[in-house]
Amino acid sequence: MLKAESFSKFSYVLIPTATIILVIMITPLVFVPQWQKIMELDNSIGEEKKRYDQLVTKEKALKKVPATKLSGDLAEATLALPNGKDVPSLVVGLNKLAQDSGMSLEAIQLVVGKIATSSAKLAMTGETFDFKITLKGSPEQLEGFLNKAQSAKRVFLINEFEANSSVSDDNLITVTMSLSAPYEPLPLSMGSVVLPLPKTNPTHTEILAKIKKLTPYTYAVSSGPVGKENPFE
Amino acid sequence: MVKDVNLLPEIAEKETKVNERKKFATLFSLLVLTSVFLLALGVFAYQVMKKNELEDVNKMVESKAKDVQRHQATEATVRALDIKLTRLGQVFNSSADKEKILQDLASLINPEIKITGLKLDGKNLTVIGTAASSLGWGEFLTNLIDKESVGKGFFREVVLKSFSKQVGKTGYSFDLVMVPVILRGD
Repeated sequence: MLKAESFSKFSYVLIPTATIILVIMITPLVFVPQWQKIMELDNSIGEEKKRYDQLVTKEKALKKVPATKLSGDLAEATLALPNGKDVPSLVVGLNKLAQDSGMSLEAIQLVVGKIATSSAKLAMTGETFDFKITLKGSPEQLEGFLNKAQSAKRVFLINEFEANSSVSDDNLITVTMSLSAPYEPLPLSMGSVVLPLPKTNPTHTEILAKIKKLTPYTYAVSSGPVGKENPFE
Repeated sequence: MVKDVNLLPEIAEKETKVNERKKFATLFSLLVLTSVFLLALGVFAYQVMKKNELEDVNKMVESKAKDVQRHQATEATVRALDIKLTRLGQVFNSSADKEKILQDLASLINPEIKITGLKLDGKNLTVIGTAASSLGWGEFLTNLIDKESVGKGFFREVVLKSFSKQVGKTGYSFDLVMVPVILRGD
C-alpha cells in the first residue's frame, strides 16, 4: 500500500519527463538532418542562381559578337597558323618563295619521326611541323628570301641556320635551314556551357593587323587530274 | 465561537493536490508535443518550399543554357580565334629573336670582313670568315666585344676559336663563337 501510494504521488512527473526525453531524442535524429538538408538546398539554389547569371552574361556577350567579321579574322589567322600540317601547300609555297627571291631550292627534307608521332595527338597546345631546306644563291638573294619568309603569311620559325660560301663561285652561298611551321588544330570541345568567353586581349588586335599585312605564299593544292596508263613511264 | 472545521479528510486534500499537478503536467506535455509537432510540420513545409524553388531555378538555368547553345557556332569561332592569336603572339616573339640576331651581326660587319660561314645552333652563333686586313679585323672584333661601341653589346661570350693568316694572300681567316644576348635572356 505504501509503495502504491508513493507511486501515485509522483506519477504526474512521469508524463512530462517522458515528453521531454522524447523531444531531446527527436531533435538530433529528425530536426538536425532536416535542417542540414535545408542548408544544402539553399547552397544548391545559390549556385544555380550564380550559373544562371553567368549564362545571362555569356548570352549578352555572344549576341554582341560581330560574327561575320570574326569569321573573316579566323580565316586570316588560319592562313598564318593552319589547322593541320598542310604539307602540299607548304612545299609549293616554299618553292615559290625561293623562285621569287631568285634562289635555287636545292633540297627539302621533312623530319619524319616527329611528324609520325605528333600527328597522333590532337593537343590543344599546338604542334609544329619540322623540315630542312637547302638554298643556293647570292647573299643579296638570301636577304631577299629571309625578308620574304619573314613576311609570308604561313608563319615559319628558324631553328638552325648554316650558311657556307661556295668553293667554286665566290658570290654564291649555300644555306641550310631547319625550320618549323607551327599549326594549331581547332579545339575538340568548348568545355562547359557556363564557361565564360575569353577576355579581350589588346595584343590580339595588333597581331591581327600584322598577319593581314603578310603575303600569302602557301596555296591550297587541289587533287588535280588522276589516272595514268603506265605509272612507270 | 465555532472554529472552522475541515470536514475533508486529510487524504482527500492530498489527492486533490496531486490531481491538480497531474492536470498541469498533462497539459504541459500536450503543449510541448503540439509545439514539437507544429515545428516539425513547419520544417518539412520549408523543405518542400526550398525543393520547389530549386526545381524552378534549375528549369531557368536549363532554358538559358539552351539559349546560349544556339550561339555555339559564334562561341567556337571566338575560342578558335583566341587560341590561334595567342599562339601567333608566342611564335612572333620567338621568331623575332633569330631575325634580330642576323640583323645585329650584319650591322657590325665592315667592308673588310667577309662571312663565309654562319651557323646558329641553339644559343651559339658560329661565324667563319675572312678579314682583308688586320685593321678591319680589329675593328670588327672591337665592335663585337665593346659595349660602348656600335655593337652595344649584342653578343656575349665571344670566343675566338681560330685566327690565322691566309696562305698566299694578305688577309686573315677567323672562326668565332658567340652567344647573342637576345637568346641569353640578358
